[in-house]
Amino acid sequence: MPDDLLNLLNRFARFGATPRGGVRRLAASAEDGAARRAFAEEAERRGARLHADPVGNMFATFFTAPEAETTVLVGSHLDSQPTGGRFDGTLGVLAGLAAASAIHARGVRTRHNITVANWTNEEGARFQPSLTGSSVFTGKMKLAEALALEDRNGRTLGAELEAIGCKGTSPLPLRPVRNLELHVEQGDHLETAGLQIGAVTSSWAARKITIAFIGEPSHTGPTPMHRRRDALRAAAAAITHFHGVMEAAARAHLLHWSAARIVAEPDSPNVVASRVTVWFEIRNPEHAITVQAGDGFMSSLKPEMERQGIAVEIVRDEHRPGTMLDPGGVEQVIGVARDLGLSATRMMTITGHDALMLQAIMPSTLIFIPSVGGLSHNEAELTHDDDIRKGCAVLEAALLRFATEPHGG
Amino acid sequence: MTLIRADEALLARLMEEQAACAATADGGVNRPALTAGDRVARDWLRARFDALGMRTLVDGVGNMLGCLEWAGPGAPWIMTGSHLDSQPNGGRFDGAYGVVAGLTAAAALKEAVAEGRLKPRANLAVCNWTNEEGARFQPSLIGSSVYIGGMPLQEALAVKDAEGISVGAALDAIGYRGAAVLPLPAAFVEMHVECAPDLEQDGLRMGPFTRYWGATKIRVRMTGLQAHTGPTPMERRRDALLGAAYLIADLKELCAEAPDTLHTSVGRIEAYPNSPNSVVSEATMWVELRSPAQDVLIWAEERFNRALETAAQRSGTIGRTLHVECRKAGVFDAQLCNRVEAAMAAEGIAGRHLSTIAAHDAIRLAEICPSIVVAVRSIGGICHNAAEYSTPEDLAAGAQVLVRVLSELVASPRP
Repeated sequence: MPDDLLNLLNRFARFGATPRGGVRRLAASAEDGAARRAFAEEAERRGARLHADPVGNMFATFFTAPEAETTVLVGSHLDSQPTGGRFDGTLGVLAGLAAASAIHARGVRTRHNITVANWTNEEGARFQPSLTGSSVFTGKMKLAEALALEDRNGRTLGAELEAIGCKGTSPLPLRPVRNLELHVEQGDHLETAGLQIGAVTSSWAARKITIAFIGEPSHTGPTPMHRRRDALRAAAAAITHFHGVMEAAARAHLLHWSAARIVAEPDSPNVVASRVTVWFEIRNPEHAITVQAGDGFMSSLKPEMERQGIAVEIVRDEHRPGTMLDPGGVEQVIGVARDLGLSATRMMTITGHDALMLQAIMPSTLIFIPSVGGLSHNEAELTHDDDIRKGCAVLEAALLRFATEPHGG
Repeated sequence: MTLIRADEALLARLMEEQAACAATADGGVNRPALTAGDRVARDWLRARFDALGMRTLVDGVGNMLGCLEWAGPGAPWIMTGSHLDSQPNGGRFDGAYGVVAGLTAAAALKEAVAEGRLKPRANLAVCNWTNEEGARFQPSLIGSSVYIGGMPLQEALAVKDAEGISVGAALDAIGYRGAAVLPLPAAFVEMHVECAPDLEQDGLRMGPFTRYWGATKIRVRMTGLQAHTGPTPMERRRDALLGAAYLIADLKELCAEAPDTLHTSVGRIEAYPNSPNSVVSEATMWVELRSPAQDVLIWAEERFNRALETAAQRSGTIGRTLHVECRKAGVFDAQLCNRVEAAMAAEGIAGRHLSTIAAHDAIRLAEICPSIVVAVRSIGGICHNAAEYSTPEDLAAGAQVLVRVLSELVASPRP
């Protein structure tokens, strides 16, 4: 069934489909719920047993080693950006399902069982921070904290998971020995270099700073200009300042940065904004550089904000030092690709992935396949069928190796 | 004619009662138009109309009138009032004071008529105009605009809030879509808190607004390209939020070029997809330019267009104006102003002429009848804020002036 995965991808692209070929499947939304149910049904149909943990992570286990209490995880996430692409995350879950069920169907006995995972709220579009499900799984985030996360409308992740019937009660009963994830690159390195497979060695560091600018609400008409403490103006000045500081720092270092989310209150056209929150990100291969760039931004920001009568509140300052993935896994992927006659390279990832989070508690491996034009978080996100077939072949071969070797290879 | 007095205890009690409708913990009210909170205030008002023996009329856009038709169906109408809707977490005086002062004055005049001390030659109505604030539905002043024929009813009913709920649906949801044909007034007198610091600075309690500033309200959108905030190379990004930030920052500079004659603001912004790790593809802003002088507004709009172009170029995005609404600067009725000043003098209240920068329903009413707004001192000029405050003494003095002006107008509507 070489095109099993392509058929699955087409089918799942219908859950939350957008007019221009993307998907809108925000974490724990009705669309996410529909995709989760379809995943559970399809996995059960193929012989897997389903389990959901208390943060809604889904595990579909194929008991290829019925006596073992261990398992190898393979998966990604089914949630998407508000208008996201249909490959980001979904590819990894469905490729995991296709590969695991193919191994299972061949009646292969392995040393460890195989569990296909769908991690909750990887994207962080609806609930911040991102990687919620895998963070709780590794113990980095407390379950209660995750369930209490609120979206823009004050709905909690816990209540929304209940509402779509996806909140389990107990942790995964098997001991995972290894994790494997296939993902689209979301950059254009593979495409530009003409390569087919990327074995990810490590990730860029990221510093994510959420800042609230606090002024005072007043009437946008009569309030004299010099008396206004306008939080939206302050936020705009901060964004342009941030851009300037980062541009200057980028002359010395390879920096990527963004301010991509803004929430203004009370958000009425004729009230001067009293509180505006902005989400900033700084990324570089080196953790120290992201720290230094962030410090430079924040220390130069405060005096200017004080001059405008604006208080600055650091709501969250999250350091994500780069993660080094299991080197053995990288070599396995390179070896598998070579055996299959595919061109492969070792590379870094700039984006965050569940596989990076899971490396905290087990050897973890991340495989990239090319993204057309490097475009992602966009409805037009595309990976060619042929690249998907090759990626799935590498995933299946690597998965089989990991599941049959002691300690998961 | 013996002196008719406003009942200050009644005024204070009514102010307290309305402030309890959708009250917030910090002393404000949360009554954006046609929300559950607004409905509580409307139900309260309807009960007050009933208690005063006033007939309630509700029109197709939810404007409420409490009517005393004591001069007969053919007689002219004198109207007063303002609005009970508020900003999200707004103050308890803005708008509500005008409605409460109107109720208090109506009670005083009714008693005087009953006792034969006042012979009405005009009918009296107290108004509550729908969506004055424009917080939930844009534009503002929807109720009074429809009433004067300045906005088609169908257009008003189709206006949608941020959640996509239309004015029509919201009216139905709270049971305030009426069908009454409202009478048209011979004069409109609106009491309002000043919402500016001028009276307090001059040590004065009250004054008529004689002029109103013009406003140009622009809805504008920057359009970029949605992409991942991580791997997307910086030089390929087209970041609509960065474009918006350049524009907002530049608009602030604009004020320095026309000090005291130009106010600018961006109070609302909508970013899409507004996810921390996707470059913003669309940022929509609600911009206001306000000035007492039309030529300044024209200049400011040109300057805005240049700022938009610059912001778009710097961020690699496209800037597009979606909607422009112009409200011209103007003057209120001079004769009504004289009446107000005479009433203030009779009460021993020193005052001054003021210009209003904020919009009021009276500005729309001025298009069809003599119309005026009388401002009562705002402490600290604070407005659109839960800390908004005016003293009970100033509010009472305002009600006394309103009683004098209305009793004259009711007794001799055509001076």
